[in-house]
Amino acid sequence: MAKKYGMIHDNNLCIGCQACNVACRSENQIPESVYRLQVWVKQEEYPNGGLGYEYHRQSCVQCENTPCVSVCPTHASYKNEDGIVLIDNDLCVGCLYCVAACPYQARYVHPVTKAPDKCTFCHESRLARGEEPACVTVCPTDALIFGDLNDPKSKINKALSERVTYRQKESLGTQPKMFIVPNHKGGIRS
Amino acid sequence: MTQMLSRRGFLKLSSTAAAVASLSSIPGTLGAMEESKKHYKGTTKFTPSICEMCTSSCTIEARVEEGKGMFIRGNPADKGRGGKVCARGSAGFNQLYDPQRLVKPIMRVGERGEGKWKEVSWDEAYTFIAKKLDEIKQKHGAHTVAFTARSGWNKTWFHNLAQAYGSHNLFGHEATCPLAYDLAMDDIFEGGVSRDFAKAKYIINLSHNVFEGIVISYARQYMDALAHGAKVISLDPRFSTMAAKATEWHPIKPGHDLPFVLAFMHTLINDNLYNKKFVEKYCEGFEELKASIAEYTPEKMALECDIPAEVIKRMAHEFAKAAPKALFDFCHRVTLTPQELELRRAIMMCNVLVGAIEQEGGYYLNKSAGFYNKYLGESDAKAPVLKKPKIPAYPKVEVPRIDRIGEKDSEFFLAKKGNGIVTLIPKATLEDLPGVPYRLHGWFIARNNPVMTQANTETVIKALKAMDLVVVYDIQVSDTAWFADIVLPDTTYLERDEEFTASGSKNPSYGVGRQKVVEPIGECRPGWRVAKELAEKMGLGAYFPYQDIEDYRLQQVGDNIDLLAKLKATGMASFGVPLLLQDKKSVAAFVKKYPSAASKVNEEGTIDFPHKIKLFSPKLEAVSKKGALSYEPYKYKEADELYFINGKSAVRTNGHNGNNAWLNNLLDDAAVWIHPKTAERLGIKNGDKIDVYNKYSTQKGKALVTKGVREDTVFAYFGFGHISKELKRAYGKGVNSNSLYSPLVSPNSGMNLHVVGVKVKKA
Amino acid sequence: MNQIWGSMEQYSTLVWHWPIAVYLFLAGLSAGAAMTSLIVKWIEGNGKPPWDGLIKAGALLAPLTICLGLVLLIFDLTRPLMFWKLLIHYNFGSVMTLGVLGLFIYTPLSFIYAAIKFKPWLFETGPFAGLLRPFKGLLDKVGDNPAWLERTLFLFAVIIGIYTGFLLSAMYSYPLFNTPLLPILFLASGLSSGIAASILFGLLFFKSEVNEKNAKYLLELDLRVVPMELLLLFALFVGMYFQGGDKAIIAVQALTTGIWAFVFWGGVIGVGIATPLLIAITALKHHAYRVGYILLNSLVVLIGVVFLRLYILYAGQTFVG
Repeated sequence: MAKKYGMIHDNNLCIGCQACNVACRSENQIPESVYRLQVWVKQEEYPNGGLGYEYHRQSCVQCENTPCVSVCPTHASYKNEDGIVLIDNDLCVGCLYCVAACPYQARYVHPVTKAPDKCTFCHESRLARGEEPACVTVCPTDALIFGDLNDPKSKINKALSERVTYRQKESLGTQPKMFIVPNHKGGIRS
Repeated sequence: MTQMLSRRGFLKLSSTAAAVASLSSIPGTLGAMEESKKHYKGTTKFTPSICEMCTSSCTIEARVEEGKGMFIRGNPADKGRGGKVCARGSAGFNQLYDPQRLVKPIMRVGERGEGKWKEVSWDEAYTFIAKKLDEIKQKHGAHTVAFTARSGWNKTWFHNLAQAYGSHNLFGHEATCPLAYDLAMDDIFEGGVSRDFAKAKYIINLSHNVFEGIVISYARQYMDALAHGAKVISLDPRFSTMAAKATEWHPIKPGHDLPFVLAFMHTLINDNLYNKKFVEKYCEGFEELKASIAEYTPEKMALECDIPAEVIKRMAHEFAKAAPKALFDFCHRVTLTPQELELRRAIMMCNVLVGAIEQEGGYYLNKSAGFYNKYLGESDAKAPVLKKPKIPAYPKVEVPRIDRIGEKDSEFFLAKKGNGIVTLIPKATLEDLPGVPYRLHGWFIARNNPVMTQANTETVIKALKAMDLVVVYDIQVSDTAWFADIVLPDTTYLERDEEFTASGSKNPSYGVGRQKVVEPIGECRPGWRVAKELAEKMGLGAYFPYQDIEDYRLQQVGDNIDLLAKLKATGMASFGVPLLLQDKKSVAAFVKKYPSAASKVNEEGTIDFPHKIKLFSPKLEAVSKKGALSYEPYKYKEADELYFINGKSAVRTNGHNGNNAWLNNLLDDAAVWIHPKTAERLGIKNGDKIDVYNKYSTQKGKALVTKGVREDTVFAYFGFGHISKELKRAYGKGVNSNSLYSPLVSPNSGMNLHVVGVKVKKA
Repeated sequence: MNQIWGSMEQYSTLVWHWPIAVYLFLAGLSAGAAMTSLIVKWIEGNGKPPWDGLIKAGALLAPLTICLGLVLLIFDLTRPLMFWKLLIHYNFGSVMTLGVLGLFIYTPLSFIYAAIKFKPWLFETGPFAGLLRPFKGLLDKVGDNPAWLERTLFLFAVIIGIYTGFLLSAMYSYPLFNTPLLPILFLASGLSSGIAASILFGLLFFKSEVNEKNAKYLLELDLRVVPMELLLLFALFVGMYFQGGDKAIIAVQALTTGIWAFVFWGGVIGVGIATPLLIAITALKHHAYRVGYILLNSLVVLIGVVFLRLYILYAGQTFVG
């Protein structure tokens, strides 16, 4: 059966340390001025008056129902058999329709190729070698869980059955494969 | 077999990075080197090693990836760290190919701090240093040259060089960082102790921000404890990531941790919450302790530390109830006080009082080979002890060290000679210290950056300028190297092999130190080689009886080639089974493995402590009348000033990697945290440019208005406002916190004070 | 918390810039001009040469503006040399592909239609007459009144007008774009700009050939389209407001905040809608035929439509909730 890769970002475990951010840069040779992945840290004041930090993983959420692929006129943006959204630079004309259409702002224009670029779950390098994405590999507090959603025994499915999760902008019907465990001190703020 | 890869291809990224980061024309830097002379060779297999992007020394492995560069990850064989690295660790690759790093020796041609350099050969550099050292030796004596080496491996080489030369003024960086708790545990436990965060049910944390000043194993253990429902209490003047993750956050008054701990202890004793049996059986000095803290009632201390008395009492009760799975974290660096040693001792004693020692979820004694082997029978195989090459005796020095360690009456008697009180160096250069019949005239600094890491920058720079000789060995023209006469290019940690290490946690363990992943770039040389070659130049070659690092390692393991092979292949090895003396299950497992140890087991099925735990220190009493605990209020600031405190961010360290391009891009300026009410009072808005100033310095910064800091306090990350202009990305950006701190050296511990009064105004 | 994750420059929601707005304007104008030309031509008595100046103006504007727009569009690509891939790779779910296919049909038809209207100039009086003469036979076969061509052209003009709206409204990342009214609004304003441009162009360059009756007819038509635009804009924002949540906030912001609110009230409403209506009920009252005012009227309508395109594109990408 085909794989369906997904990821969990657990807000309770995330410490916003940017290890993922830098590991991604190292593995994927991201030019210095741009990012495939950042973790935004925001201070929140909860309804009970307490303070908290909310962690937002800013990166591609790997939609099932992909606005970027839908709008791409040349099929340069596509979803592969494992459910990962990718870009074929050879087909890309640089209309940036996908960049604009992505409700998650996951895409940026690569300063060298001038084509849009984004998180690929390290598909081209690490997954091919049987390794987890770079961000997952280094995450100091195991805040990221990666795996095959089609495999009932996978780590990610186990975690999904045990933890409360939500997905960003679910109302858009994009069905992201990035699941977020809300901060139990604060609650869901999608 | 390890496959070596040699190609320009794998450097495509770094050369783009180099192009972006404005080519450096400084002599001796990688950026100034001819393209054709650059050789890059690396191994494509994961090589286990140790990270050096900060001092936490996490286990890593790294490999060169064809056409790409390098990928660094945690060593998966290390279960404690889970194969993880932080952002700093991942950025190690960027340091390797930084055009601003130094790859050739350079010599000063202008004034100190003027930034005028010329490239010299290694031989010229050695000749110069040897000549200068000899001149100082003739004129003032070899002991007037201080040798600072940041960490273990560099100490091995350069402290050896120092003593062969004739100086006993040896230092590490410890007095700017962990020294006080090392001294405290030596005094109380006669050896090192570790903390079993993961199994604890109740943890009290005084600004020990392991989620930003990341030690991977601590961060994982704390997270583990939280995930398993442990209650973590964070007492921190600012809302750190630790405070955010903790169950409770109490913004304690900066510099007033000790009154809190004393009141906490007062409750433990006066409410009869302490473990009487444990105290009676294993401790000494309880009555003296009890008497000394009698006056520190929670009600009285609450006024000092700003934590309500009932909250202190509640915590003490909860803590005692959770014992032995209770852990009062003795922390790292916190908001330091002049009573640093008292503070760390008091914290550790709280854990002792509830008997949370040598049990899961508490403290445990570090069990090196020497410790562990004591419990093994004659016939049992012993944990290996690493050997050192035999060397001639060092020349004897007749005068005391500047910190007088080794003298009977030294207030710093607890400190090891290899650590020393590095914070005293500026004083010992600029003024006469009592009982020290000389001033310092030279400073040899291996991989330490006192200009950034020591309090009161101005004094440090003044001392550097007063020296006859300043030698700095570093990978870049650090802020200290900026004032040096000669700067020798060190290898980065990815380019060198190092000596094997031995340590102990619950059982003895061994590490490979560092292993080379790529061949050294340019002309940089590792420490074992530089010290040896310089010694040879000075006619002291006999003190370095090894060919190279491989030879040195062979001498370390002796005939234990298996250990050598294992360390090289996996990066680590351990001996025996984990042992917790007070944990029956652990003791039973230990005896099962080593039946001859049965004789050491007491009637309760546990093993007695090798020494009495000291709740009162006769030695401290003799030297400084501080055998018991006391609280002496200290005036940190004037009434119209704010407390200024600092801390580590997750993407930078204090002295070393602020100029790393990848890290610098994440955070290049440390905005100063200021409470909304204080900001309003001062007419400051979020993002405003501000001056933070006191009598020591004026620092320019940006305001970050947040409720995450006390109203009477401002906070900034440290490691900003770099002074060396050769660190082009980091130079002059952000508030340099050490410039604002006083030059105070805390009694008995030698620590700097990291709380000071400042005023803030809109710039 | 300090911002420790690095630069956020790449997250500007402003992805498409002014060349796109100008393209949207030109494409709408082209479609509108084609429709205008056909509408006039289809009026009883206008169906044979010599063609009315307005018919010629529209016929000429349609191919020229669409080509200009397409050139702009290509140079606005981040990889302009790759643009030809658009012509051979199709994604039938993408509005852009549908647009490309639409333009494949629309653009040549608009050229043929224009050629019919300028036959004498092309083959006899113009500078390229000699060069083009061999093709005359082909065009003669099509005839002066090819119903199939004209109907298809009209149909595709409508499609092009609508597609520019769908191009934006297909993106649900931008609430202001993502409304079903946008294609209609763009079609209406495209038609309005087409009419205005035809009048302007016709009166400036083919004045002697313009029949006053036809001009008045077009003016009247425009006067119906312009209030329609107002109605559509009203429905768009009020509709968003009643959707509540982010959309309501965005609707209010877009009309009240910063430079784009100013452009909306001053440019779109003030210049593009209020002024022509004002001119219509004052200077051109009772169908007065005052050329100066008619030109002014057309000009402000055109400017208004440019503002509308700029406003929608920029405000849509600026106010995202």
